[in-house]
Amino acid sequence: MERRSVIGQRIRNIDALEKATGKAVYGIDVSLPGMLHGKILRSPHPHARILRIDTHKAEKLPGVKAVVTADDTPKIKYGAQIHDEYPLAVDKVRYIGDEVAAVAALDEETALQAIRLIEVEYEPLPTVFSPREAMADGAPSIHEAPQNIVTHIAFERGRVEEGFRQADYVLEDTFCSSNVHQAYLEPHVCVVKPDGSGNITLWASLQAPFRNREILARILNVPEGRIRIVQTIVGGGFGGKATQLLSLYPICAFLALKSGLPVRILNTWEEEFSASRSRMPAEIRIKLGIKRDGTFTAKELNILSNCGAYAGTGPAVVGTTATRATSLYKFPNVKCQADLVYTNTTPIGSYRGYGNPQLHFSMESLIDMASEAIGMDSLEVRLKNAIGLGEVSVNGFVMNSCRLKECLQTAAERSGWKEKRGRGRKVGRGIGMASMIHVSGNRAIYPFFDGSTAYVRINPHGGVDLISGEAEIGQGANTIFSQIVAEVLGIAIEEVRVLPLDTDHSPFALGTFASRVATLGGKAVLLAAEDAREKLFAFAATKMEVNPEDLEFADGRIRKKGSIDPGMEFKEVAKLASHANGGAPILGVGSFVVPSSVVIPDESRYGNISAAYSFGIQVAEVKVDRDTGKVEVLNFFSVHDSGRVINPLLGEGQVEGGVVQGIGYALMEEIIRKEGKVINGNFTDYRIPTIGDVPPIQTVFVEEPDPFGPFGAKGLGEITQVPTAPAIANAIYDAVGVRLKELPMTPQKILAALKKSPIK
Amino acid sequence: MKRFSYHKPGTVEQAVTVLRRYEGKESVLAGGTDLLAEMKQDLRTPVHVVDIKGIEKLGEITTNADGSLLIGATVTLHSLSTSPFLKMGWNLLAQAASKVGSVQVRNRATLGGNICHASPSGDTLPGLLCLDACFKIIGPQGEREIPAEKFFLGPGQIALGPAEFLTGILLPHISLPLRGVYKKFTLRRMMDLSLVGVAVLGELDETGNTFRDIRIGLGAVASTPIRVRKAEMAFTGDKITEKRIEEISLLATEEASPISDIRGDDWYRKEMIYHLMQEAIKEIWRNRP
Amino acid sequence: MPKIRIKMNETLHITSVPANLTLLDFIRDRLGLTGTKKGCDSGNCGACTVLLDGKPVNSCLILTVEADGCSVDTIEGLRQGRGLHPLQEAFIEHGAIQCGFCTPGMILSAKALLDENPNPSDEQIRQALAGNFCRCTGYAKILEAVKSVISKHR
Repeated sequence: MERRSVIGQRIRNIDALEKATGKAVYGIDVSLPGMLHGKILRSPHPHARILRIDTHKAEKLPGVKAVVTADDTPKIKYGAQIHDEYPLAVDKVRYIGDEVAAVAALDEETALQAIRLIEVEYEPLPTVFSPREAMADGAPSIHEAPQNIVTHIAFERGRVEEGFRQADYVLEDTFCSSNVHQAYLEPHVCVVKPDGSGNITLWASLQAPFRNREILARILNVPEGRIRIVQTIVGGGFGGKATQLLSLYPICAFLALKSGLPVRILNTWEEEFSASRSRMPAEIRIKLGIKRDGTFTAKELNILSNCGAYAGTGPAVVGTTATRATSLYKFPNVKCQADLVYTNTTPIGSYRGYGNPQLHFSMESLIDMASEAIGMDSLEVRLKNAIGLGEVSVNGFVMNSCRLKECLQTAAERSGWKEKRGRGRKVGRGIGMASMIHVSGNRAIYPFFDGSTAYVRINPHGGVDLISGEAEIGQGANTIFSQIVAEVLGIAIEEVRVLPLDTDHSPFALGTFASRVATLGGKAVLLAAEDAREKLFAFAATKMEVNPEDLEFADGRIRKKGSIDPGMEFKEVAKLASHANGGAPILGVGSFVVPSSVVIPDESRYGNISAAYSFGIQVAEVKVDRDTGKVEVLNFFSVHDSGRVINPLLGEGQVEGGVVQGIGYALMEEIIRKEGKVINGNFTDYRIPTIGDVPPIQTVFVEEPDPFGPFGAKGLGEITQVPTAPAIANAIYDAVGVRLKELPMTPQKILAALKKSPIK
Repeated sequence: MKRFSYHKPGTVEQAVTVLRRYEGKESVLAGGTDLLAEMKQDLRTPVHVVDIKGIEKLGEITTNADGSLLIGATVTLHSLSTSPFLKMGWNLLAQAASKVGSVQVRNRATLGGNICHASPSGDTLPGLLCLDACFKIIGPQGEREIPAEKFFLGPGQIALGPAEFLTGILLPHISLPLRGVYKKFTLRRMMDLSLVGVAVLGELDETGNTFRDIRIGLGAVASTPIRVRKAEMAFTGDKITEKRIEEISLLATEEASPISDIRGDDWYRKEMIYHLMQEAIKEIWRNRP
Repeated sequence: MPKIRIKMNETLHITSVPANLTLLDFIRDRLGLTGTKKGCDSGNCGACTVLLDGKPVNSCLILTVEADGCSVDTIEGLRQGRGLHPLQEAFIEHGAIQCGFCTPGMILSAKALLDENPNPSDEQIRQALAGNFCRCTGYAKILEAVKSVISKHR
């Protein structure tokens, strides 16, 4: 009997039951006996020298068990990419929220009282809040970096001046995107327990526990083996809990080590908005040369972005902005100049898309403007220039699979593009599209390798364990892994047990970011499952006296293909193998690194950074109220080339979630600061979409298996938010003829533009 | 939240006694959706919290012999929004109550709380002004009544003396067939504070082409909720046309003095008054029974 | 310390609590029922939603003492050893749960809606769930899940 494949099936999340019944344990749910509560004292100044810290009043307060400042630490600089920060400020504070001291006490109230008793004498320094101010002559130096520049990128491929000369039209414009927060519902939280011998266990909702441990070990100046990180169930991450480690975590460790007791620190939402790491805002000037027949001849970018007070993941994020979206199309000539600049504001970090949404907004908007200039449908312009299978983009991406054109055509059909485009202006209705490209893993993130390892352990009792260090963060990684194991071993998904992520037991893994988990994590799982199968068959073959190649799985049994002999029970074989081997389980190991064709980019940012690239198109239908400027998204289509989708139910979930975050980015979200201070740091004044703001979303997967990914899968986790803002911006233009170049596109901005616009 | 002593008096007299004893260090607790949120931020730090939900009659809605309606201060916004008592003109208040926050908030937030929080954007406030509501206060000097319009002194500032608190909201009997509409402009479709609130209460004549009586209240466009009396007077008795509605709406914007804040600029608020008011008036005009 | 009697998921608790202990912290820290979540802790996100005498409320803005004499239902009380509530089953089936942090509050709000109005319109469902934020799912499958329970009942 043909066994039905579980790949491509709509299978429920394996952890959904515990979440639906309130049993799932998140970081915020962890409580240990004798646990102290920690609070952090943060700088009220955006830039100041620390002259004196006096903690003795806090130390004397009854109930306080430990107080720490930088003097209690090895004062080792760290950072996700550039080592420019300390967990507790040494000499200087550089933004409002910078960590200065911390307290652990018997309860939260006492801890709060205690930090108010810490006396800090500051000498305020001159401040800069915008990149331009920070780069100007005479600007105060935040980190001794010339002109306060964190990263400078400059490259030219081909000759853009020549390219612009060849164009029939050259358009240039500037687009600005805002600082938005991931707004996961569970704030950053950490529990650390010391064992009294210099070892600590840390519980937290982290996306990249092994990378986080590396950084933590550096800060604490201990061998990594002394730190155990147990990943709790994550209440949302979206990049905010990935490779840049907030000071909260090492501070918690210092308090635990000093007090000798377990300590918990939980961010308030005011701390989240002012002191966790959110999306890099960018000002992008983009120039495009286009021929009358729609061919692009040249593109030039000037990117100015605000890094905030510390580098964090900024250098890689701006590198993404500078190069990724460009690879959607064939550009014969490109030039790029980018500056990432320190200012006295909250340091930026990673958020779903990692610098990609910013350039997509600019480029996909300008392409629509250019299409209008030459009188061509922007769909046709995109089709004309779209990159294709087997091609290498101008920035070095090698397209081993690419269905971009098919996605464009499918999206146009499904959305009724030709019938609706340009027809709705009388009633303020419009339709707009934007293309998307993203990676499946990024070789540039970790200097030493990209790849993954997994174990599939067939236990003596016949149960199967999957052990991977790649992180489940709600996207369904563990479910997809279970599907892969079940598929290869011919068992039910329910029979696969995914062990919790624990640095003591799981193999080293890079973690969940760069949309790498289904492709790279999944590939390791596939290899491990195949290895386990091979070993199991090898043993069964000796017992059944057949060749291993002649064996197959069927209904919980292992038997010879095409034979009437029922063979042996799976569980029986596992047990016997263990007995024959001193109790050993059958251990399948899957390990790989990406092929050598996948590289870290060179100094000019050229290089094939991923084993596979995902593509797609989003189409938004909007209605704009001309009296109020309010935008209602009526319908949304998201068409994806992410290779084979292992679980379409979960895949749709990534699309729908990403799109709605994208709607927030496009229309309503922005962290607002005045003189470096966040003034809307709460969920009343920082608006994320509610269920009232959501249009019907149709997802189409154009599935062609990619040669590299497991069962042909490519990344899907981040790309879903990447083109949403320009799709909506282009739809707004189609609806009422106003072109917005600044995010978020609020009703007030739209109304202001409508009043200026001659088109009524 | 800092520590405090909790009191739950069973009668208004007991409540006044407690408030008097701890005057200056106490806060009255009704629904808690404003007070507790503020206490968590240390914006208010009462040493004594006086929960008035223990006073039964404050949770009731009663019709008086003269046809007026007394709404107890601790009646929740949810109860208000579904109350069978709030018919005809009074329905304006039910509409406003139904638009505050979320289901969770409306199940706790009270009319008395919405009033005493006195946010310029409080949703129930413009309608209360249109309905000529009167607030019943009790304190050491006994009971008194104050018209709604005199109660609001500024953002978060109300005309309550020491140890006084609001016990009820009196809505005068409406003999005329008034119909009311509350329009709330928000940046997000649901669960948002209003950028502009417009309450219109009107009575059309038999032809349906003139307002015999029209009252207009605005929220979030001044330091308190306001009645735009110039616009009201200019409109009463006039023939209703689309053009006249536009003119009156423009007149109303001139009586408002909105500020610019993180939600929106002053000019945008004026635009929204202009727009929302027309919508509200047209709804009453066109949907006459 | 005020004395209180609260019925928590059908179990009566008679105890003393500090006045400044929120109902949320009582449920999570004193009773160890961590299914109810602390999200924004300011009455916006709805992750702390419980049913107080059957009505959905944000437990982060309620003092435990205010719930004296009341009955409280949390997500743990939904199952009661009798199998899953149809909403729990539907959320699981339809992929309406990703990180799951909003799920307990969302399910309770949906339950309260259907208990009062077994046949709500799309708009009424949205109004009922407007105070429960979700950042992972985009709400699409949450709506599907709730609607599937409605149509099953017809």
